[in-house]
Amino acid sequence: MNNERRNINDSDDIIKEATNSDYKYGFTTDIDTEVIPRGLNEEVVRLISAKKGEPEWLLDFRLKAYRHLLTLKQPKWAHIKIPDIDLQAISYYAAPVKKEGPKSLDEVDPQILATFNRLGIPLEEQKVLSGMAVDAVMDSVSVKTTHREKLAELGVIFCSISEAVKDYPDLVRRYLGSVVSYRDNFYAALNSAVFSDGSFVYIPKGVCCPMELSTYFRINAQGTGQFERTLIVADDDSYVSYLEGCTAPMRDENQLHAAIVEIVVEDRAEVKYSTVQNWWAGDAEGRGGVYNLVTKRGLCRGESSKLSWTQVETGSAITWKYPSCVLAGDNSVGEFYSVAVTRNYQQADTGTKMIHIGRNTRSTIVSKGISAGHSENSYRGLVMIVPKADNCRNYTQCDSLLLSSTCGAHTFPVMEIDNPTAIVEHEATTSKINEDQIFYCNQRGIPTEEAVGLIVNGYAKEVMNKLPMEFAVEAQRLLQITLEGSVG
Amino acid sequence: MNPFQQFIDLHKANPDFFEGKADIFEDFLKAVRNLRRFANDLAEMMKPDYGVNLNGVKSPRQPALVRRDIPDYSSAIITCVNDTYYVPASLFDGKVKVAVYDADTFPFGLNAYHSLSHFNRVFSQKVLHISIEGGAKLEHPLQINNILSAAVDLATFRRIFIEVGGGAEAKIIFNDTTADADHRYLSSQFVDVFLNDDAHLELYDITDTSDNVARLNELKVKLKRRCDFNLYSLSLSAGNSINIYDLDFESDNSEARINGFVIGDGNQRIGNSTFVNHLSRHCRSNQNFKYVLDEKSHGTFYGEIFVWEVARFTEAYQSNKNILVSRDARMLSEPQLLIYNDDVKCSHGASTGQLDESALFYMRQRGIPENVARTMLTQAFVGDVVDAVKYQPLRDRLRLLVENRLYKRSSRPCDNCRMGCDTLNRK
Amino acid sequence: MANEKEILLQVTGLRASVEGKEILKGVDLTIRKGEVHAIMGPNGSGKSTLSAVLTGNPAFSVDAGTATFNGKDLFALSPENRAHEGLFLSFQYPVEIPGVSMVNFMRAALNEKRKYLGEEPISASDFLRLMREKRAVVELDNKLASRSVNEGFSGGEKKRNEIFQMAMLEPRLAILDETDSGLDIDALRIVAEGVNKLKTDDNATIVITHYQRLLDYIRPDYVHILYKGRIVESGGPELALHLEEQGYDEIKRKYDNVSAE
Repeated sequence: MNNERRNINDSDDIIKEATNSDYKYGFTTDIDTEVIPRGLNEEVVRLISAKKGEPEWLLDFRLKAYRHLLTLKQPKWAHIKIPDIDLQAISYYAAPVKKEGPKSLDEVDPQILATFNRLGIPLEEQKVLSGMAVDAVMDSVSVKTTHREKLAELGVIFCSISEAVKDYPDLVRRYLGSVVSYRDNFYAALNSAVFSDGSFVYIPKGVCCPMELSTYFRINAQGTGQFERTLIVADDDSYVSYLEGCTAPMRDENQLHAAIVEIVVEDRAEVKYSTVQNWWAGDAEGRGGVYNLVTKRGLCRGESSKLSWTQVETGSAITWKYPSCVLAGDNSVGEFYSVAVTRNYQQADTGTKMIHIGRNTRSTIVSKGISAGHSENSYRGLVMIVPKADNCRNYTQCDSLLLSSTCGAHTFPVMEIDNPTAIVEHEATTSKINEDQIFYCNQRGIPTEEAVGLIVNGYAKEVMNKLPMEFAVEAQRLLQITLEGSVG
Repeated sequence: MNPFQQFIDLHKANPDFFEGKADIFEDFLKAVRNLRRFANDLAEMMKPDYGVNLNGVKSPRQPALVRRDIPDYSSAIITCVNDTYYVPASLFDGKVKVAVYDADTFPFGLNAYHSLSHFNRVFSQKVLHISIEGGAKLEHPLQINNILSAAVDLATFRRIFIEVGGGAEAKIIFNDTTADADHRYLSSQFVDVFLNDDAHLELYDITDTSDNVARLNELKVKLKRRCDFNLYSLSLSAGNSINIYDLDFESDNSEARINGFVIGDGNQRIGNSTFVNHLSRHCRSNQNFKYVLDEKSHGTFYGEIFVWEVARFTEAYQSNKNILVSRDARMLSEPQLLIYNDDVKCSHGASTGQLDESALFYMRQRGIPENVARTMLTQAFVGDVVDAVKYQPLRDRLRLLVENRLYKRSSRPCDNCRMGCDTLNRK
Repeated sequence: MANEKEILLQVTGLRASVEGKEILKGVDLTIRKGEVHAIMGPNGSGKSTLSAVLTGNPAFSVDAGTATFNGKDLFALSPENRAHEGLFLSFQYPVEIPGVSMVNFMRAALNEKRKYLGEEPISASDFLRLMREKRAVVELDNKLASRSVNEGFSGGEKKRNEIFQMAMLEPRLAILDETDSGLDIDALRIVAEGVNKLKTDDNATIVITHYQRLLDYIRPDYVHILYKGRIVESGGPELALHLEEQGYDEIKRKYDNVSAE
C-alpha cells in the first residue's frame, strides 16, 4: 500500500488504482482549512458553538452532553479490539475557509469540486439534474447543497444542519436528540457535544420526495475527527429515500468518525436510508484506518410508518454501528439489510435493534457478513417484543461467509420476547465459500478472484437489490474491488 | 475488613471451615456478574436464610425409605440426601468404582471454571468420585438420586467427579427431586466429566423439584478422541434454576449432542447456558433446546458455539425453539456463534412463537377439544427431544411424564416425585 | 326431489368476512339428508370461506345470518362440537402436524366424539380394527397411518387421508373443499369412490370444486354457483355441464353489473 500523496486526474487512472486494490479514494485536497487546536474541554464546546453562531439552547444541549460524556467510559462490550481513544488528541473543528457562502457552483472551490468528481459524485448541475440532490459534507461543514430550489417548491427542506438551526430552529429543536439522546452512549454523548455539521431533511405531510437525497461524507483534514449529525423527519404520509456515501483519504493515523443519524417517521410515512460505507480501512498490516463509531436510529412514531435501513459496509478499520428501528406506531415496519465485508485486519461489529412497542409491528433483518484475511466480522442484533406489543413478527436471517482460515465470523443475536402472540424467527449459518462453485467457474475459464467476486455478489444480492439503482452499481463494483486479493 | 470475613461473622459459621478459601470467595463475588444474563434473580435465589450443614450431620431421612427407581429397567442407584451420599458397596460387578472423598483431600485436580463452581467450592465438603472402568459396557444406567429433604431452609453443595475409561459405554441419570417441599433450598451441584478415548456416555439431567428450589447446576465435560456423548437436560419442573453445560472437544473426531426441554409454569425461572468449545478437528456438535413457558414463567437460553482456528472440519449446529403459552411468560434467547476458521459448517436457529393455529383448527375440526389439541401439539413440540432419548425405558417413561406435566396432572405418589414408580408400574 | 326429507343444514342470509374484508354477502343454502350439493365458482368467489365459516375457523367472522345444523344453532357451537354433531371438512390444504401420530390423532378425535355422545371410549383392539377397515376404503397405506399427521405425505396421499378420516368419523355432513385439486386421475377415482362408498340416505355431502371433473365421479343432486359472495344460480347437474362448456365468463358477464353493495 502506498501512502504518498497522489494526484490522479483521469478516471482511467482511478480504475487502474482501484483494480490494483489500493485504496481508491486515498488522496487529500489542498484547500485552506480552519482548524481549532486539538483537545476537548468546555471551552472547545463553547468555541464550536460560537463559530457556528448557534442559539443558546443548542449550546446548552452541547454542554449537557459534554458533562454527561465526562461520566462515561468508552464501551468495551463489542467483539472488537479498540484502543482507548484519546479525546484530547483530536481537533474538533475543521472548516474549509469560506470566502463568502457559495451562491452558485462557480463559487465553490474548484479543488473541492474536483475532489467530489474524483469520488464520482455528480455535483455539477448538469449531472445533478439527472437524479440526485447532494449535500456534500467536506470534513465538517456542508459545502453545497444542490437542488434546493426544486425541493423547496414542494416544501422539502434539505440543507446542512447548521443552516437548519438558523432557518428552522423550531423543527430542529423539536426533533434533535429525540431519537438518540445524548445520554444514549459514549459516542453519542461525544457527538452531541461537538457535532460539526451534517444534513437535515424535512419532508412535509403528504409529500413524496421526487428524488433521492444524498450526502457524501469525506474526512479530509489531518487529525480531525468527523462528527456529523443527520436528522431526517418524514411527516405524515410522506416518502423519502436517502443515500449516504462515505469515503476518507488514506492516512497513517486512525481517524475517528462518531456520527449520529436520527430519523423520525410519522403516520404512514416511509423512509429508506441507504449507506455505502467505504472509509479507509487501513493497510494490509492493519495500520491506520477510520474508526467508524456510529449511532443510527429511527423512530417509527406514526402508525403504519416504515423505516428501511440498507447498508453496504466495506471500509473502516473498526466499524461499530447498529442502525435500529423503534417501532412505536401500530402496524409500523422496520427493515435492516446489511452486507459487511472485512478483510486484512478490519474489525466490524454491526447489526441492528428492532424494538417492537406498537401492535402488529413487523421487522425483517437480513445480514450478510463476508470475512477475509485476519479480519473479525460480527453480527449483533436485538429483537425485543414488549409485553403490550401484540401480534408482532420478526424474521432474521444472518449468514456469514468465510474466505480465509484466519478470519473470524461471529453472530450475537438476542431475542427478548415478552408477548405470547409474537412470532420471532432467527436463522444463521456460517460456511466457507463453496469450492464447487469456484471450480465450476474456473472450468468455464473464470479466474478464481473473479469467481469469488461473482459468488459473493450473488450471495449479497438480496441486500444489494434493496439499494437504489445508482448506488447498487457502485456498491457492486466496490464489493468486487474490496475482495480482490482476499482469497486464500 | 474483607467481605469474606464479614460474611463469616455475619453467619456465625465455623471459621475453620473457611480456612484458606477467602480467595475463592472473592473470585465468586467477581464472577457472579456473569450470571446476570439469566432471567433468574440471583439475589432472590440467595435471599432465604439458608442453613448450611457444615458438620456433615446425616439427614434423619434414611435413603432406604425413598424409592425412586424408574420402572421397566434396573439401575444401580446412588442416593444423595441434600449433600450426603449413600453409596452401595458394589456397582456393576466392580466395573464402576464409587468413592466419597473429603473435598480437602480429593486426589484429583478440581478446577474452577465459572462463578458457580467457585461458589460450590467454598461450601462443598465431599466429592463423589465415580470411575467407570475402561472397556466396560454397562447395559443399565447408573442413577444418582438427589433428594432435598430438611426441616429448615437449606443450602446444599454437591461436587461430583466422573471418569469414563477408554472404550467404556455407560448411562448416567441425575434425578433431582424434593421430598420436603415446604422448605426452601439452594441446590448447588458441580459435575466434572472426563471421557477418555472411544468412550460413550449418555448423561441425563432430570429436574423435577418443587418451586421452592433454587438450583445452580454446572456440568463440565471434556472429550478425548472419538468419544460419543449425549447430554439430555430435562427440566420437567425446575423452580428457579440455572444450568451451565460446558463441553470441550479436546481431541479429534468426537461427537456430542445436547437435547433439552424446559416446561415452565408458575413463577419458575429456568435458564440454560451451553458453551460448546471446538478445540480440535473433525468434531461434531448438535444442540436442540425447546421451551414451553406458561403462566408467569421466564426462560433464558444462552448458547455459544466457539470454533477455534485449529478446529478445522467442525460441524456445529444449534437450535432453540420456544413457545410462549401465556400473556406473562417471557423468553430471552441468545444463540451465539464464534467462528475462527473457514473449514466449518455451522448454523443456529432460534424462534419464539405459538402453536400452529392452522394445526389447531384442523384438530378441532376433527372433534378434538381445544385444550386437548393444544396439549397434543405441545407434546409434539417437545417430542423430538424426548424421541432423542436413546434409552428406551426412560424414553417411554418421559413421554408419560411430559404428558402428565402438560395436563398438570399430579402423579406424585411418593414424596412429590413425579416418577411415580409404584403406581405407574402397575399399568 | 324428495323435499319431504329432513333438513340437515339451513343457512340463511350468511355474511362473513376475513381480516375486515367481507367475502360472503348473503348466502342461503338448504341441505337435506341424502343429498349431494356441488358448489362451484371462479377463484375468489368465497367457496372456501363458506366451508371455513361453517366449520368455525376462528380466522373468519360471521357478520350476519344464521345456520341451523341438525336442529342446533351452528354458530353457537365450538369447532370441535360442530365436528361432534357430525360436520366434517375435507381440507383443501390438509395441515401437517409433525410429532402427532395419526393413531393418537384419530383415537383422540374418535373418543372425544364418543364422549360427547355419552359413549364409552373405544377399546384399543376395536380401534385398530376400525382403522384397518376404514383404511381400505381409500386404499391408504398402513405406513401412512403410522406416521405423523400428513407429514411428508404427497398431495394425493393427503387427500386420501382426509377421506380416510371421514370414514373413521362417519359425519352427517361432509364438506369436500377442492378435494380434486392436485390429484391425478387415479387418485381422483380412489378418492371419489371412497366418498361414494360412505354415502347413505342419512348423510349429505357438499362438494366444493372449480371444475366439472370431480362431478363425473361424485354425482350431485344440486349445483350452486357462488360468485362474489352470493349464490347466483342453482340448478341440477346440467348446470355444471353448462358451466363446463361456457366457462365462468358468462357468469361474470351476467353478474358483474349487479351491484356488490
